[in-house]
Amino acid sequence: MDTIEKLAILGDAARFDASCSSSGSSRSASPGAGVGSTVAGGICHSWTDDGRCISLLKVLLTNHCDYDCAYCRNRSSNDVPRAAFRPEELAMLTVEFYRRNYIEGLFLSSGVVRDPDHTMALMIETVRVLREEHGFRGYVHVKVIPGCSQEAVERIGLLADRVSVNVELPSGRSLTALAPQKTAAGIEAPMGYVAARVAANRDELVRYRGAPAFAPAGQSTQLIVGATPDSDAQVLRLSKRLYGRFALKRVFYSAYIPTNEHPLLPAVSSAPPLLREHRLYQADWLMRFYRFDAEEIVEPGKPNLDLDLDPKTAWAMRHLDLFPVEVNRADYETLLRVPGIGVVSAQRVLAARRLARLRTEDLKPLGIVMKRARFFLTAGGRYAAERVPQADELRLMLADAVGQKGYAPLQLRIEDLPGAAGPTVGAFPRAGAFADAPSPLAAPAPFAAERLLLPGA
Amino acid sequence: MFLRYDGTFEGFLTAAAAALRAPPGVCLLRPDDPPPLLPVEEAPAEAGLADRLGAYLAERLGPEVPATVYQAWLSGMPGVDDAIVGFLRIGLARRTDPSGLLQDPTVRTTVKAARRTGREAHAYLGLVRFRLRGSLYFAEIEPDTDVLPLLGDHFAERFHDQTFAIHDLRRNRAVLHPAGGGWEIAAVGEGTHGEEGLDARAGAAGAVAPVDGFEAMWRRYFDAMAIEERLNPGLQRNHMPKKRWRHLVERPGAAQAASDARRASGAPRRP
Repeated sequence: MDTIEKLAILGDAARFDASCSSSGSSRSASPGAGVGSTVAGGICHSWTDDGRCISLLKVLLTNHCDYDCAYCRNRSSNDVPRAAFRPEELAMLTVEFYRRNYIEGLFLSSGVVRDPDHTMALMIETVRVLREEHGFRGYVHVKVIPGCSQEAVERIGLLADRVSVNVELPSGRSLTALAPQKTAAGIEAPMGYVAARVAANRDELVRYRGAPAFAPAGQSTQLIVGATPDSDAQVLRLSKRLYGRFALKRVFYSAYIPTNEHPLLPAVSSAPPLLREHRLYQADWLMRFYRFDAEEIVEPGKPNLDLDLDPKTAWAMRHLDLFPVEVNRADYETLLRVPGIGVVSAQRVLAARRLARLRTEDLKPLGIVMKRARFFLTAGGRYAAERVPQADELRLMLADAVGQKGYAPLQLRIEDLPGAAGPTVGAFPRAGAFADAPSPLAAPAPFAAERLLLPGA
Repeated sequence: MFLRYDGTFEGFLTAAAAALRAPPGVCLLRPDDPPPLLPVEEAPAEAGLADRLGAYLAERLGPEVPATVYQAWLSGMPGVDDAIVGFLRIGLARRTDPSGLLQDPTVRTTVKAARRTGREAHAYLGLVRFRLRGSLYFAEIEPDTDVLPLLGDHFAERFHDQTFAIHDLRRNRAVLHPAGGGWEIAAVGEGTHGEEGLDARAGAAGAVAPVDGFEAMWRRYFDAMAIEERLNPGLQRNHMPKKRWRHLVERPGAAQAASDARRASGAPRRP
């Protein structure tokens, strides 16, 4: 079989893995030897028609597989075209693509042939040829085969920038039912080993700069959502544990696309839960960059995230008593909790208000999304929206736009409009004050000492 | 008052320094700007000024100011030259990096322009596609901003053993890098016809280009990676606008077109 045919089969077989990033490693080129470098922020090289980026050459070494996981296209009982790269063939292909600037490096995964250690040996050999014989200094991400030996993890960690073990199913019960040859222990053991090794390596590098780097870009994992009845609350609790206990850089979420008929899986005709995947990524960002805890993100007593509202807005709607906040005074953590303010715009607020007091019209240029944020902010005591909406009305205005894939949005009904159902009661407990005039509560009260200086005031 | 400079960054800095010494109201002109009705003075570029002024600004206003000014200038956006002068005026008056003061229109224009150049340069770190011509790796780009000076270091480091050229078709200039050497930006003038001229100047053996089999492999791989159930051309174009497709080797949009054709003919979705 030609290389091009193998590439089509083994690329097609690898594309369901959500991870693509080439970030977290920074290595300059070595003058006079080899080719390549890595950039800390990663570089995307192209975007496929589904809108996902291509950064690394993402392929399986082979899609021959002895395992029979119910959710997988490449399981042994499926009749799909099979192929396998020779290690030197794939190494050469990677270098040639790299030299034309198609890719940042290689993302290597594989079906399980014979046993986990035999498969790992083939993958290690591929990356060894790439690194040692081609002098390749670009990015390499390798999927560790669950159940392999510690020696194999050690060897691949010294060759790759990032290693990862896919958790795939969010609970042990689902794993036993759908992937009978995999065990939770077989997944957690290499993850724990990598976490410990990366931490130890950090110490080594402090003590002596020449210590060989072990997975300098850390580890990540992937969870499939929508294949099993596991809830968003369970998924997020698991992610929290993975970030905490194994110091993962990323947890990727992959909406399950049904490929096999199975009594425990959604029917092949059902659409992948793309909006749910999107909400989980938003929740994940809240945990990693917005200082939210997993337990705060999902509404108590409800297993899943609200599909109509992004999780931060949903949180704000449950805590209207904390808003509006004064943009000139609120601390960084509070700003991060305002819908429509992100990490960058919160930092810009801090920088801008050091230089001048912010007015409502100054907020949009800072990159704040006023469509959402105006209902939650005052600037110089002035409420940023025209008037205070009711909670129900606010929910409708903040719900995601029409036209999102696989998703019917809330409808705005006449009776939901303000004034249609009796007197308007603002969404905020102290809201009446903001309706037309600057709030006496949010505006700083004139300093008492000044008052003493104004006779007759 | 109007002050015309020669279109180089050094020339701009000389003119900007003169504008900062004068009271506000000086307008800078690039050579290709149409002449205004009022008289124009010429500001000759002062050699060595860029380094001196850069060091001064870094020390006085903060380490990021020289890069902000340079990238904003590279954007070539209308009005950016005068905005940079206003930006520096505010910074020098307050003795601080004014980048945070986005309420001010000159600061906003400058910072936005710098971000635009920076973002486009970063995008091109990924979007440059080298095509192998003999022993020359040759790329063509059509960026909105003048990104070439920001690309040289990255590619020269990464591909230090390759002879390559990156040709900016809009500005008719190219980064040239002979294998193992340093890089420079050269004008691609009349008479040096595209690739052949660059071949010679980059020091590569000009050869008739054979068909490069890796291009077909890359196209095949690219098509195979799209997941039909997730097709999302809007998201694709957000990241990679259509104007960037022309010089790619892969063919974005092919999987979407195939899916549309299948649906039009009533055939079921791919098994």
